[in-house]
Amino acid sequence: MHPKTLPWLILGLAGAFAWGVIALHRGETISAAWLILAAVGTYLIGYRFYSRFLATRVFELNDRRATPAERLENGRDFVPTTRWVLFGHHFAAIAGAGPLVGPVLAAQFGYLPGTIWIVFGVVLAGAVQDFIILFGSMRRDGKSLGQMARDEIGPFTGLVAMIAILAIMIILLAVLALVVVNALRDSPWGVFTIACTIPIAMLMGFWMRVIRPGRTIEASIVGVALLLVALVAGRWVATSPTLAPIFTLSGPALAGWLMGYAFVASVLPVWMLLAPRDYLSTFMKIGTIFLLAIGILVVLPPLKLPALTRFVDGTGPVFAGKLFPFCFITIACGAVSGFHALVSSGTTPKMLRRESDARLIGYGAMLMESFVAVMAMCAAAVLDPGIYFAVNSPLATLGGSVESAAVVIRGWGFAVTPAQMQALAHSVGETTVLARTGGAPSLAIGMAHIFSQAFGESLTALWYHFAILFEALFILTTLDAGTRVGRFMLQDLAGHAWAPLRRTSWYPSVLASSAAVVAAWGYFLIQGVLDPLGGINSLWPLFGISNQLLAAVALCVGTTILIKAGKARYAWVTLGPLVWLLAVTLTAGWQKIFAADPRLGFLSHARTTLGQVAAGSLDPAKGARLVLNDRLDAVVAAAFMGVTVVLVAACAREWAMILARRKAPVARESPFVETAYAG
Amino acid sequence: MPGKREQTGADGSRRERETLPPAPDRSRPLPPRIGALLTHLKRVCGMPDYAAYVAHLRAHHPDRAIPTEREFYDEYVRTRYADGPTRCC
Repeated sequence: MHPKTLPWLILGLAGAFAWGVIALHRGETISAAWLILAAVGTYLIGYRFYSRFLATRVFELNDRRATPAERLENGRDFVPTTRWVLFGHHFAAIAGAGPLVGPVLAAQFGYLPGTIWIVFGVVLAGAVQDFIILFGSMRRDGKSLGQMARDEIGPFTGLVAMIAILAIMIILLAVLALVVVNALRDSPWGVFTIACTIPIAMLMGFWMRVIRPGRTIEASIVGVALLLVALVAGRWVATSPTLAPIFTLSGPALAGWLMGYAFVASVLPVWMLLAPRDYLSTFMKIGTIFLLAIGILVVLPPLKLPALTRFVDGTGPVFAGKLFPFCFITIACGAVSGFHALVSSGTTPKMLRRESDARLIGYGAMLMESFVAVMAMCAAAVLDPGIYFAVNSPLATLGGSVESAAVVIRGWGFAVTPAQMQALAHSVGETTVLARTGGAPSLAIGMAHIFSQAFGESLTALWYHFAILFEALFILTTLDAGTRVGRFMLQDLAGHAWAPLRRTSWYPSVLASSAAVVAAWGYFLIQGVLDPLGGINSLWPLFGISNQLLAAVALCVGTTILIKAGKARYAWVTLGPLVWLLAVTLTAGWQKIFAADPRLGFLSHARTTLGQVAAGSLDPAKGARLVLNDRLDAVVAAAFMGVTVVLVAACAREWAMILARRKAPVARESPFVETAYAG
Repeated sequence: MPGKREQTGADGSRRERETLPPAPDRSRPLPPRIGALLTHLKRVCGMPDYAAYVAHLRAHHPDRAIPTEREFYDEYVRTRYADGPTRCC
């Protein structure tokens, strides 16, 4: 045996042992340490062996081949970058709210199914997708996913992919905005702190551009410091009888403010709000993830949630649907996320110094994101199950009070008392934490629980609002950036019809297209806010389906790249995950549209609603709105499925022609240029 | 040296800029390791790095005018958020 194999063998055995402990301690409380050990052991084995196989045999990464960063170096976006720095850059770009919120929601099945999917999904699917798209883009001068789809498969596919990306952005923005609304509803402390981020970011913007140009780090440090002051001041605002009512906003009011904010922010110059906000949220994100990792490793909290709950049968209150396929839809980011394909074909491929670095950055950074998802799962699982369900179930299920909620939750077999709920709300500085759906609040409670055990008990409320601030901050950044990107895409698409619409500096077109994008996601947001079941119920699965379908598109492009490069015998590395994702998403899409259970199927929910209106138990206007929303959601789900089937069929046809030698396998790679770098 | 800093030439500022002394090396007043660390941190966060851009221009395009830090900053952030999603959810 080679001496270098030994550490890997030990790690593999440690991981396997941890999985064994998890498997054998069913029905008992186990420590989060076992989840973490099992995950890390699996990642290291996956990285050492599978990613090495991908890098050397499948992609044949070649360090003698000059990367785009070397050939096209321009000192701005094409910059050769040391690999660990680029790892940080890429990780900061892919990590966000998704990997944190998804696992928290999927915890309704217990911690085990989600964790298995997060860990094995990333090794076999998610990291493979990120790696192959990064590889493909690196070999094509840093082209985007849409451009690669057009070049490798055809202009029609390119256009379909672009429309799909735009539609996914819309659903994504709506669901993220809904997460923020649910977290900040009737929370003056949270609203005040988040509102403060706007003037703070603008101050940073002026600092970096006008007062001391280019001093971005300095301005960011000042920004973070001001943010922490705003966080502490929030407690004072929340207890002030004059200020608290001003910052206490209902769900619909918050939705209106968010839409107005996103519209204004997306038409302002980038330097004024978006860029400083982006730096602020990146700092906060890296800092918080680091703190969470330390907190979990120091405390190693026991997991109070069961490994499996009774809700694997599809009767869960957080979202409807059985373990298969909905566990795999709910956890998108963290296991496999199509959105990463856009990032992996964005700034990162233009910064790779050496081809072989793509392995650490494409595959490795995704493992790290998966680890964040495992930590989020731990943060949800440290809560008492009764508390978890009280926070995450919709108000319609729980009834209006902590007393009724306690009765409902006891009926599910989990103990929780009204006094416990009130004490919890008080300890985090809120009036109520009941039915705060969307994942962010229960994650924040879990994080506050871990942080206060690790760093001091007295600050629970501060930690809770810190966690809420951190999530809301980058979700708001995403709303701004996403609306802007959506606007550019819409302008580009509309430009096919009438050329002047494409001009990104022509104000009528800018304002109209920004308003159109905000109206589109705002419609779904308001639908979610007014939904009696809390909205997350219907919107999160829609987002999960769209994100996983984008992953399917990326894997199709990846498979095409492999087949065209003459590597058809290795095409299973992408075809395997592709088949799995298609099975999961098409099943989920079908069930969301046609399932007979009105909690699950859009169409049967519409029928139930019509029945209620006919029986006179529901206001006809409200009923008509609910029915319209159900039908619209059904159309959106069907459209996602249709687009994917068309794309997969177009790709399969291309593959068949190449494999039957009726078409030459010509990959559109940039020609080989020998690197000028030493060794 | 004072003569070189003269900015009010008759034939435009563009030519003047080229004769200015090299842009200050941001990392110089700081210990080199901290300077390098800040440069890395900037790149991790996707922030513009003016010193690197100036160094690139001097090495590869000595004929081109060097933009001011503010011009570079404006152009950098404008293009960065225009290409497509820069960050995931």
